[in-house]
Amino acid sequence: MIETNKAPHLLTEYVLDLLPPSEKQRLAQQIGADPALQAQVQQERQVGQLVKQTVQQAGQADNAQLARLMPAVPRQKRPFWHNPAAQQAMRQVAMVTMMFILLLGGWQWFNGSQTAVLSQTPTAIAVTATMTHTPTATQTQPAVVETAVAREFTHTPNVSYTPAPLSTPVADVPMNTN
Amino acid sequence: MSSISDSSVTPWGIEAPTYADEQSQSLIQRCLAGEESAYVALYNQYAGMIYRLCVSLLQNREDAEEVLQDSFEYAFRRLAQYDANKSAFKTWLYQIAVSRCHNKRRRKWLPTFSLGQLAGPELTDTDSPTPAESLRLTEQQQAVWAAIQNLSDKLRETAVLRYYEGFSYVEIGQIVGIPTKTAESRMRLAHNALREALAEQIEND
Repeated sequence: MIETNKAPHLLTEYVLDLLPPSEKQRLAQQIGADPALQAQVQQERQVGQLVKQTVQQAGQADNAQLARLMPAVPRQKRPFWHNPAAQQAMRQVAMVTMMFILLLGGWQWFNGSQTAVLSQTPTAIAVTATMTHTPTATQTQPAVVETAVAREFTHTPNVSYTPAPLSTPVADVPMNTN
Repeated sequence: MSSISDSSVTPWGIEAPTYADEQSQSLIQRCLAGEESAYVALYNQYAGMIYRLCVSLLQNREDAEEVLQDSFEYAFRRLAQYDANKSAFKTWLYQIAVSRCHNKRRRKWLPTFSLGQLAGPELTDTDSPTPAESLRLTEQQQAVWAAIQNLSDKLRETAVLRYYEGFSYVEIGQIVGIPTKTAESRMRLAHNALREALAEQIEND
């Protein structure tokens, strides 16, 4: 049984749903068996019922009044690609990109593989030509000069002759030995 | 939390919150897609409840209307930020409204205090209806209303959220921004204060 001095406190806890489930169940059985406790519980519950009824009445508002108080619906910020002008610009960019890709593809197809296309550009050809001719001309010159020096000292008996170098296949100039 | 769907009846005959959040969620999605009718539906679903809460907490219809508008304007603008995993939509909305009621009370306190000092009792219009009378309450309801208004702000909001809205203590904690145990303790104090103030009404019934 509930102790008399603890009853109001426990009943408040019970009505406010603040008791642990086991204790709540035990108390519910006792209340069910005791009409005096039932009356006390009813009084405790009445507090909440009175508050509910009063708040309901005090805060009554008709639909028209509430509708008048509705704030403006916020404008949704649409993504920029939903803008028709942006869509047109994007279409144009896409078309130009597509044409560029098609042209590049066509160029590659015309010239074979991508490596071949890059190696046969005009710049690559010009560089190759320069590099090929310059060393050939430079190598020819010393062979001729050395031959001439050897011939200047033929009348001096103390000079040991240096054999003339062999002619290079590139500078195939006939040597004058007299 | 938002998945709670079984409605239960509290001892004082209030339906515990049934989170019809699937419906709210669908409305929110439609709102975010820019559908104006969804905003209207969402407002119609909750405006009455929020208005009653504001009237109870602020004791003034004009202030309640202002806070109602302000709360929904804020909620509509921040709808994308609502997280269904954190709380039910109703809890989120009440959180906004309670926070705005706090701000309103804070802003109103200083001018009301100073003007009251200047006016004095002789300038009070005795023919004008009291706030309770203007709310068209019966005599008993006026006594209850007075008892509610005599509670401190903290106890009043806890009592209204529990008795009228049927929120759990966990939800009250979320809405007001206090621990659950504090919400429970405030509810005990509010209940005891109301029971004492309403002893006459309870016995008459």
